[in-house]
Amino acid sequence: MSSNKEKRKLEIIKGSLKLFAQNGFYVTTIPIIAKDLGMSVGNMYNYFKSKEELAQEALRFISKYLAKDIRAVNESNLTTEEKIRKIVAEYFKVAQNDPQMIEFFLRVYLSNREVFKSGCEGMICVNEFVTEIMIFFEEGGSQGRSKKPRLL
Amino acid sequence: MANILWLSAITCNGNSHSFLNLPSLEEFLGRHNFLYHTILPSTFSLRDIFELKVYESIDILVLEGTLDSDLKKFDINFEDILVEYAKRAKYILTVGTCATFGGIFMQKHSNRYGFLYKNYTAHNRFLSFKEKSVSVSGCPILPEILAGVIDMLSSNLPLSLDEYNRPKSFYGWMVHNGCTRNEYFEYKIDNHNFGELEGCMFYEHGCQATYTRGSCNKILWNEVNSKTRVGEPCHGCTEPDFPKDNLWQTTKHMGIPAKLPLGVPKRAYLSLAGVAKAFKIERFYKNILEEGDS
Ligand code: SF4
Ligand code: SF4
Repeated sequence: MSSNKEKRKLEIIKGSLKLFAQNGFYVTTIPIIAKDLGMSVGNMYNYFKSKEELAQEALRFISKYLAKDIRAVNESNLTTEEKIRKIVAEYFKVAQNDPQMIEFFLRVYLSNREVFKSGCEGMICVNEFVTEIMIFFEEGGSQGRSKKPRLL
Repeated sequence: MANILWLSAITCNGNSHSFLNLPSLEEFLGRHNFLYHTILPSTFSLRDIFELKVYESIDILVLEGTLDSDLKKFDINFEDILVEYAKRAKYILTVGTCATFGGIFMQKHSNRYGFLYKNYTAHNRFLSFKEKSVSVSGCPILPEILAGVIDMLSSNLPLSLDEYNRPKSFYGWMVHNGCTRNEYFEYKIDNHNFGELEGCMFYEHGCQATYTRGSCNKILWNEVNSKTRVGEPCHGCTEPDFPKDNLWQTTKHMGIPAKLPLGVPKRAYLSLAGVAKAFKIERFYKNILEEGDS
């Protein structure tokens, strides 16, 4: 895919993510998203075949976005306690600067599971995020610091 | 033909016995000659050996068992005799994990060691012999490996060795290679009951085969089976840290096995596990034989 198309695709993901987060999955239609982005509905379908696909891409985008920050914490030399503080701080930063990321997670991903049933089985669309969280717990756990139920 | 001298230090003689299971033992004995072996017919008695009455050339000195500087036989210090023959031998094979890394008979005895290693650490006692030594680890060794190494050495075939002097042809790959349970490993399904043919024992039952080097699933024991195929976890008996504790259980932190397949980073393992576990594949949860006819 050309980098221009990639760039445009990312814009659509980000734009729709905001609308999904604000208004929910079902109220937000493709025409609404297209209008918001100043695109024709027909052109939108050149990028995404369905609204479900778009929501799944949005989820993957959030997972990667959050994983990046946690990975940096995991790979740092901080102590377990400092890592916990850092991750909590990062979370609040995201909630403040990009609240749509968290909103989407709670409002769409956790509430409309049917949208993700086929294509995002198990945790595959949030794999990057879950992996980093698990590494975080596991490293704390192997030092006897965290006590949490198993995730995988 | 090779002249072989087999010396046993502190040992259960498991390797001497295991060697008797070599399917082609008769042919082997037709090709090679034992100056001394604990059980097989030999040219000399053990007393002859310890009284240094052996003048024949020694092609291969086999050492079995853990070493202890105080060990004596016939009131003669074992290591003095060992050094004497080691000097004269063309090659030295440390046979079994005791002779190679210390193994079972080193447990609770801090003054004992293997010929070149004490667990993972190399020591200097016999360093001058390292060049002509080959490690054949295992508890016990697979007889085919020992015979194979002796045949290769006596035919002057090159042996490529790993960092612990083990021949890579036999110890270059993991015991996991060739296990009939690989499919269950791929989809992260343990679901195993001892003795059953289903499930992979990596996740709950302590199988160490993904980080244990050896050929157990390619050269089958008694030409029939292997531990892991039959439903018993690999205990990692070819590795420097054998034996460990808690051999039938997988130690985990937060649900993740504490030790992952050799060389696989945690991040890679978890990413794959996440994908593999996303799908529940019915076939892998069934007891195939008890299911009845279809
Ligand atoms: S049981 Fe052990 S050897 Fe067999 S597939 Fe599982 S990890 Fe590998
Ligand atoms: S399967 Fe593992 S424990 Fe068993 S003999 Fe082979 S290497 Fe040793």
